[in-house]
Amino acid sequence: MIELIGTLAGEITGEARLIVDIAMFFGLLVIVAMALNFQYGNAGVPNMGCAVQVIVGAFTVSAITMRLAFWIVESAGIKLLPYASDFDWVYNNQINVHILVNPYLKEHPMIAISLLLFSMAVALVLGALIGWLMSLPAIKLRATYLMIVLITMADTSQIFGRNMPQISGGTLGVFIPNVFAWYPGDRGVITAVITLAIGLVAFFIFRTMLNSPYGRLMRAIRENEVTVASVGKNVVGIRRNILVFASGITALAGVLNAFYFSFVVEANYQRAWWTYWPWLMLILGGPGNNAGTFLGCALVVAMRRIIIYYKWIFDQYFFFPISYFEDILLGTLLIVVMIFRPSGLIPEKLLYIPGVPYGRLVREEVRVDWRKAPRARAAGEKPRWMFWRR
Amino acid sequence: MLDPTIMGVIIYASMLIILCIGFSLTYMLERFPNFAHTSLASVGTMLTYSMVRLYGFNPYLSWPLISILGGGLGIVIYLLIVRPLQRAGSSGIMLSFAMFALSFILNATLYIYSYWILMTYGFRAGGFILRAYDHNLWGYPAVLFAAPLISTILISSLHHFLTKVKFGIALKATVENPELAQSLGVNTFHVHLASWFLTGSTSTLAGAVLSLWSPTRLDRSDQLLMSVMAGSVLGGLDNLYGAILGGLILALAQTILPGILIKIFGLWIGGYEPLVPMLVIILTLIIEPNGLTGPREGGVGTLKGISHLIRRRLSRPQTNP
Repeated sequence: MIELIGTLAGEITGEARLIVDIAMFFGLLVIVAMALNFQYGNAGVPNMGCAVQVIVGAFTVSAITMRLAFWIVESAGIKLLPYASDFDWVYNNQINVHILVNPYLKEHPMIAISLLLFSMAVALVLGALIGWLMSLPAIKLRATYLMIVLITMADTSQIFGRNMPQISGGTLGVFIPNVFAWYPGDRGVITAVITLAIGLVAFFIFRTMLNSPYGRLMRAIRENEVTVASVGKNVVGIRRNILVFASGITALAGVLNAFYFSFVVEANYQRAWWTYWPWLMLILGGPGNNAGTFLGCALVVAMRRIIIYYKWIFDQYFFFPISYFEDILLGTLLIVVMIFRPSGLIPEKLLYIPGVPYGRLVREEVRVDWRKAPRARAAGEKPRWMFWRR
Repeated sequence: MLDPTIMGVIIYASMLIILCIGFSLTYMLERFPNFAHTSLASVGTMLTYSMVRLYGFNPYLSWPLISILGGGLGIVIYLLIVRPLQRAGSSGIMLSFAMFALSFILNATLYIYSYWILMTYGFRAGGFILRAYDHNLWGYPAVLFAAPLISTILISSLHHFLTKVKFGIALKATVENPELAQSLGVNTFHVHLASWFLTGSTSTLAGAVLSLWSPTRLDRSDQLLMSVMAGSVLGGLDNLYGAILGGLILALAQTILPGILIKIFGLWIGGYEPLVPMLVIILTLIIEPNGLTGPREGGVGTLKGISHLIRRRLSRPQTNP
C-alpha cells in the first residue's frame, strides 16, 4: 500500500510542489486560525501570543523528541556522536540525525510513527501548560492588558530559544529526525496529508465544542461578561480554560511545522509570522465562524505562496523585491475589509442549536424550553433532514 | 568626561518618555494600544536619514520639518483608518489589530524606500547611525543636550497645555467622558485631530533624535514597541504623568540593570537583556495592575499612597499639637 502511494506521489516538481506547499501551509495555519477563532471569535479572548504556543510545539520536537529518538537509537546499539554538551548538541547534530538516526527510523516505521504521536501528545500538554502560564498575569484584567502581555510573550519565548542551545540549537538551529523516513515518496506530501487530517480533526473538535452548551456560554461571555458573571458563572475560569485548551491545539501546528522543515530554529517562529498572519486570516474571513476562517486562510496562504513562487515574474514589473509588497497589499486589504465589511468576508451566523424548531418558533406555533432543547435530539427527536432515520 | 553609558541613559530616557507619553495619550483618548506608534518613529528615522544624507541638511534643522510631516501622517492615519473603523463599529481589539497591520504596512514601505535609496544612490539605508553628522558642544555630542531639552520643553508645554489652555482642558474632558464633553460644546473631532498630530509628531521626532546617538535598523520599531508599552504600563496607561515616570524608570532599568547583572552572574545573562521590558510588564500587572499612578482595587495607588503618607506625617504637628 505504502509503495503504491509512493509511486503515485512520485517526483514532486513544478506546480505540483506549489500545490503541496499551499496544502501544507493551509493545514498549519488553519489549525492556528481555528484555535484563534475559538478564542477570539467565540469567547473574546484576544490571544495575540499564538506564536508562543507554536514555538512550544517546535521546541518539544527539538528538545524532547530528538533526545528520545537518540536514546532509542543508542539502545538499539548504534553508536551516536556525543551530544551531551551544548557545543556537541549543535556541532554533531547533522551527522547524528541524517547519518545515524534517519536510516534507523527508515527501517522501523512503527518507532517513527510513535515518535510523531509522542511529540504531538507532549506538545498538547506543554502547549496547554504554557497557555495556563500565559493566563496567570493578565486573564483577570482588561482585554487590552491581556493583549499586551500575550504579544510580549512571543518575543520572550524567542529570546529563551536564542540563548539556550540545548532547546533548539540557539541561533544556529538543529536538524530533527525525519519521522517520515519510511515513506518512499515525497516527505512534503505525507506531512501535508497528516497536517490536513489533524486540521480536520481539530475542526470537528472545535465545532462540537462550539455547538455545546459550553460554546453558548463562551459566546455569552464575549457579548457581555458582566451578565454572565451575574448568573453565577466563573468568567475568569472559563476564559482561562479556553486559552489553555486552544493553546494545546495550537502547539500541534508547531510540531507539524518542525517535521515539515525537518529543522527547528527560533527565528522561524517570529511574532510577525505566527501571530500576525493567523489574525489577519481570521479578521479577513470573519471572526466567529469557521467558514470565514477557512476562506481567509485559503485566500491569504494561496496569495502569499503564489507571490513567493512566481517571485521572478512579478519582480520584472517592480523595482523592489515583491516580498515587501505583499505586506502592503494584504495589510491594506485587511483594513479595507474591516472598514467596508466589519464582520469579515463571511459574517457570523446565528447559533444553531440542534433540536430547536426555529421555523415554528418564529411563527409562534410552539414554545421551547431552552434548557431541554439540546437534549431533545438525544431523546429520539430526529432533525428533519435525517429522513432516512425517521 | 561623562561615561558613554550615562550619556546613553540620558538620551534614551528623554526619547522613551516622549514615546510613552504619545502611546498613553492615544490609549487614553481612543481606548486601544497603538501598535504602530514606534513604526512612526522609524518613519522619523528614515526621514532624517534622507534629509541629512541625501540632501545635506543639518540634522537639527531637519527636526521641525520632520515633526510637521509626522504630525500630518498621524492625522492621515486617524482620518483614513481610525475614524472609519470607529464609525464601522470596530472594537478596541480590532482597532489595535488594524494598527498592528499598519505597522507592517509602514515597515514594508520603509523597506521599499531603503531599497530605492540603495538602487538610486548606492547607500545602504537598512541600518545606520548618524553620529558622524552630529555637532560638538564642549567636547560632548550636541544631542546629549538637545534630547533632554526637547523632552523638558515638551513635557512642560504639555503640562501647561493640559492645565491652563482651554483646548487642553477640553482634551482632558474628552478623555474623561467623550459624550459629556461633546454635549458641553467641545468639538471632539478637533481634539482627536490634535492628539493624533501630537502623537505623530512627537513619535517621529523621537525616532529622528535617537538615530543621532544609537545605531538604528528598520526593524528596530518592534523592539522599541516593547519598551514603550512596558513604560506606559508601568506608569499606568491612564495617566500622562505616569508615562513620564514609567519611561524614565524603564530607560534606567534597560541601560543599567544588564550591566549590574552581568557583573553579578556573568556574561551569559547579557543575552537575556531584551527580557527587561517584558519582565517589567508582567511584574507590573501582577503587583500593580493599574500602574504606579493608577488607582488600586479598593484603595489608592502606590505613589498616591506614599504621597498621602508623607503629607499626613508632615501635617501631623499642626493637627495634633
